[in-house]
Amino acid sequence: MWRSTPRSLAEEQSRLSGHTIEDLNDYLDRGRTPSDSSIDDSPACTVALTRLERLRAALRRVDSAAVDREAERTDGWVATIIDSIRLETRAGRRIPLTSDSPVARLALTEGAVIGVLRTAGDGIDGILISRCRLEGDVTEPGEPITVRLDVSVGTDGMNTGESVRDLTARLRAAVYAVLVQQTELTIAAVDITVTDLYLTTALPTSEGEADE
Amino acid sequence: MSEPAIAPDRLDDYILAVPGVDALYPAGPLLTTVVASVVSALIPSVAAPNPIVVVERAGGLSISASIGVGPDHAAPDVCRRVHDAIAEHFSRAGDPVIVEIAVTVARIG
Repeated sequence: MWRSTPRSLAEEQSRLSGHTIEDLNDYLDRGRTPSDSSIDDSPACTVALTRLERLRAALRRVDSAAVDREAERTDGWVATIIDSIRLETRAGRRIPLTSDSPVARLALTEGAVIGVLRTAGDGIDGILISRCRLEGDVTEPGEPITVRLDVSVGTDGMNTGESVRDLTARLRAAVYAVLVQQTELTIAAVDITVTDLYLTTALPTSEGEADE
Repeated sequence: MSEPAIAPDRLDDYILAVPGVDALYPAGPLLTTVVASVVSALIPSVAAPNPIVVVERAGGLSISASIGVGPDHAAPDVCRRVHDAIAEHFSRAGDPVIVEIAVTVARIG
């Protein structure tokens, strides 16, 4: 389904305290038992586990018949998200926070910010964030940055009469609110691209079912 | 760089008691932390590595901590509170010269 090159595998293991995304997937399969402190105590592993659980939840919502019809495409969609998880489990850049103390060196990791933005986005029914990037120099206080999100939209999560534009407006507002609360970044824009749209269609029932 | 004059004993509990902090992650180099954790697991008499790094430099102490912040708290505020808690802890422990308190938020929510 998805494969890593030896080099990228080594980089992944370096980021994930010696583990791979597949290891973490297996860990979830086992119900996180026996507990593994090298996973549980690693912020990068914790972030990756959270995202894998969200991905699993999203896949459970996807109609299995639709998956069968578009097996190759769905596989690619999942692989894209998995690749994104690989990239985003990196701690990334150091985003400084202000302080009155002359000895303070306070910061957020880029991975922490991306993680909380994903949580905000994926918390909206019908939205699954497949890619999240902070563009611009986040290490420089006051420097305007742009948040770019690639998202999949499922119409089953949309309110009655709501358009995709309305849904992305809700996402933009949620992401902006999180950025204001959780960071001191100067936000120039939150750009959202809908890369996949999943329509909910009623499956035809057989005559036998109709008679019951 | 040498061994710290003041061990960071119980400082981890002090930081975990700060409202909003729900995890404390190893702040030291990954390889050192992993090796120390393995040694600690194999040899029970060897203490597990403290997640807070305290280093005595020429001008004073340098303290580093990496935290996770709960979902209902603002990470910048929690980060500043952890800085203040560390400063207060060392102030009570003899008030050594501190040259740096580095607090990194590694996870939010």
